[in-house]
Amino acid sequence: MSDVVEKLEDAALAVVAGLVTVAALVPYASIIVSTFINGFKAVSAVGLWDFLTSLPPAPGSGGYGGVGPSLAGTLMLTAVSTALGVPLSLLIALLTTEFPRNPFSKLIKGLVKGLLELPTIMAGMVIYTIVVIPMGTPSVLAGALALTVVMLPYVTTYFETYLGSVPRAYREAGYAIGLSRAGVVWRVALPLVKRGVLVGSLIGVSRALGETAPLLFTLGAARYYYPSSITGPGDSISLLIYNFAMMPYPNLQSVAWGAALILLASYLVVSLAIHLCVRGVEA
Amino acid sequence: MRHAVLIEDLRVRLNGKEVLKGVSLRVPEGAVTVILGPSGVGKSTLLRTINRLVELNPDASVEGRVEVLGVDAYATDPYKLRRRVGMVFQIPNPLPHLSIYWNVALAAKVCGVAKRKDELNRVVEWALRKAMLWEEVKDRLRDPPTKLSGGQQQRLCLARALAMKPKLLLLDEPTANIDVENTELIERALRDLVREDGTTVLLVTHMPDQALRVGDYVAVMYDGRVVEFGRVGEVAREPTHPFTRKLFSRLA
Amino acid sequence: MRVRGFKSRHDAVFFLTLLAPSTLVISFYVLLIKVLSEYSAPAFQAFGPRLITGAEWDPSRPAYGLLPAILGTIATSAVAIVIALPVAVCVTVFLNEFCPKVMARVLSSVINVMAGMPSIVYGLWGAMVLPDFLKNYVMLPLSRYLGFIPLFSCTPVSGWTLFTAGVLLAVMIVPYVASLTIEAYAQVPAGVREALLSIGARPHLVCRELLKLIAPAVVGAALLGLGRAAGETIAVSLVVGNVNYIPYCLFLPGETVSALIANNFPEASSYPLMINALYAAGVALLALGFVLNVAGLVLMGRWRRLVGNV
Repeated sequence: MSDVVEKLEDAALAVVAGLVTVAALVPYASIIVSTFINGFKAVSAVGLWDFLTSLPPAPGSGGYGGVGPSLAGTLMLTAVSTALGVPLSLLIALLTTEFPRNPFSKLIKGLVKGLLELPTIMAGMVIYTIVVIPMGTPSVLAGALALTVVMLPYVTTYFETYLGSVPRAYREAGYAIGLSRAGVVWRVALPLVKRGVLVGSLIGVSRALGETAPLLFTLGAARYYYPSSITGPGDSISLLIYNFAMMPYPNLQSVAWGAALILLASYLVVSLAIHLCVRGVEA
Repeated sequence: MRHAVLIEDLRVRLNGKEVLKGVSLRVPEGAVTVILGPSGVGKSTLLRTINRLVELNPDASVEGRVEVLGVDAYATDPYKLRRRVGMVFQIPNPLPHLSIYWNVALAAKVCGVAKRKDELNRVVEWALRKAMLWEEVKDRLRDPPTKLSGGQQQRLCLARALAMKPKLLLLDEPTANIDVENTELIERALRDLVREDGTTVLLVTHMPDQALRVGDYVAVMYDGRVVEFGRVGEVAREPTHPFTRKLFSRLA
Repeated sequence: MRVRGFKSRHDAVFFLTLLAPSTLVISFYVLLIKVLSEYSAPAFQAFGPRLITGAEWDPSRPAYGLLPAILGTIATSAVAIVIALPVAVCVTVFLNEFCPKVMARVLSSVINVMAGMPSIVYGLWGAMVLPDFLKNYVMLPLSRYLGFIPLFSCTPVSGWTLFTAGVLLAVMIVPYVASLTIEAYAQVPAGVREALLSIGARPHLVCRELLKLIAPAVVGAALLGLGRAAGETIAVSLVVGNVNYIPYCLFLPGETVSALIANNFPEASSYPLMINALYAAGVALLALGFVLNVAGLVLMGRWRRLVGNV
């Protein structure tokens, strides 16, 4: 094989791979930059506090506004769905890691993994049928339930990996001093994994923040008044963005950018928190 | 006598730790030289310094003179260097996605030993015969190497190295993980190589009995240095370094 | 293997305590199957195979056909993976072979962050920024110079097209597919790379052989990415144009199954059988995703066994 040809082939590969990688980064840079720039414009038009608390402008009014009710809705949804989802995920993960060979355990593990493949809109459709219709109204609760279904596989898989990594030595020490299986879990394993539970919760939060489709039919899009209870309709930042993006009014589209900035910033903060916590664990 | 490998005051640091602390070694051409020593002493590192595989570790630093087959190993293109030096690793590593045939043929192709199909066929058969594997695989050359036993895979790796027609063959504890029968076959293959083709063989092992069976010369390593070198028989009978004495005393 | 063997009564109680809430997962699936079959059955009964093969969507008759939406899902997902897979492979090669270690870690983190980013942020950018850009700089030139290819044979009127949806999906799934292929590449045992280097292979040859080795994993990753693209609703519905006709060209607006559901569900109760047709659409979506994901997982499993054997 000719020497020069070979060196050229090496160079060509490096150049192509490098160029494609750089080109691939462009859309993501564009997303971050345009969200920050347009979002900043929208937020600074009314000031950060007002943006976070006031109501959105009416369509066609041409004025500016904020995302107060939607933000409150997102916070409520996140709180409820995490409160429901994280403990359930932890229990399921405990089941599958403590009793891995049990057929029930294996079935549930497979079903949870299968939830990953469920299109999120279908989670919304099912919750719509079994919760919204009987209740007669869309609600924050229904939305939170749909979000729980969506976040479950992610949080459970994380917990399973995490619990599985508790060193055998600790568990065996527990058994050696006569603890039952439950005792070992309660007194030995769980205290060790406090940080893991925090990370798992953050993962759940990050999922709840970002999902839109499960909320389409379950939440109600009530964005011009603050939600009064979780059994009534509400709105979320993601749903607001979705609806306003489709509207032909520039002032609403601008509010959508502002909301997207809030969402992106929250997501980055949560991701950073997860990253730092995981780093801490490894150390 | 000419030397296939000439090493002077070689110091190698890996991950901040000094593994080779001033190794000097002259490997005679056309003979089997055994590098003998305990685990962790730096035998593998020494071998990998010769074909520059030590550079796979991003934290590696190499100082000293390393001359391989007449050229300064660290002043030349590493790929060209590696094409003249064959290597067999401690854990057999055939390429799992290629057939038995192509595991050997690829090496020949890369090193420019053969290009056309008929040339490749000839080299593959030659290399497999030299590695004492031909009879066992001649009817299943299209099979993946995963169908072979560990010992057969190692002989396949030997055939791969031989297909390069290397003047220097490096072996890093090649029989440490395989059974007695395959060990015997490989040792026989090595002695034939030296006798028939004049290849220089550099074999790393921790087993003194292997050194006695296979080696013409032996270099004993201790604490990151070569502490003794000479003809195998002489070193075994009259060791000078205390560690060498300990090694060979077990073979009363 | 003991099925009901527990070390003690304590263990059995512990097991049951954990099992009880976990069965909620089973109940969800039961409800899912029940809801889907109950609500979609009337549509299948009323329209038969025309539900899947028909192209009309006329609530007044009523006549519902999912074919345009199904074709749209297939088309957009195909465009997405055709773009995303080579990009993911190039990024993998660059990251593993040519990238300095520090940059590699940063790039890895960027990929992970982008993989988890809320899809609505992608959707908003897709709706606001992508259509005009793609129309002027990609679609118009493509239809002018490569118009002989049937899929490119029309002139785009607006930027809201199947092609735009496909490109947006590609942007969304590249981080996911790339993270899978990077993991596969990194998991190749060190011995394989050493073997290739020891015979004097240069970087381009090492790369070629390693890619050949992980090919099943790459295809598996592609199928998993396809499955994810097919299920994506929000971002797609913002850019695909939402026009329910059979697409013969990528530069026209179209529809996907999930966008169809999202757009029509709110008013569906006003029209007879529409809600049933939408649930049937959900069944179709599940079937498509199921096939793709099973195929993807099987391939990934096969690759893992190949690598594990050496």
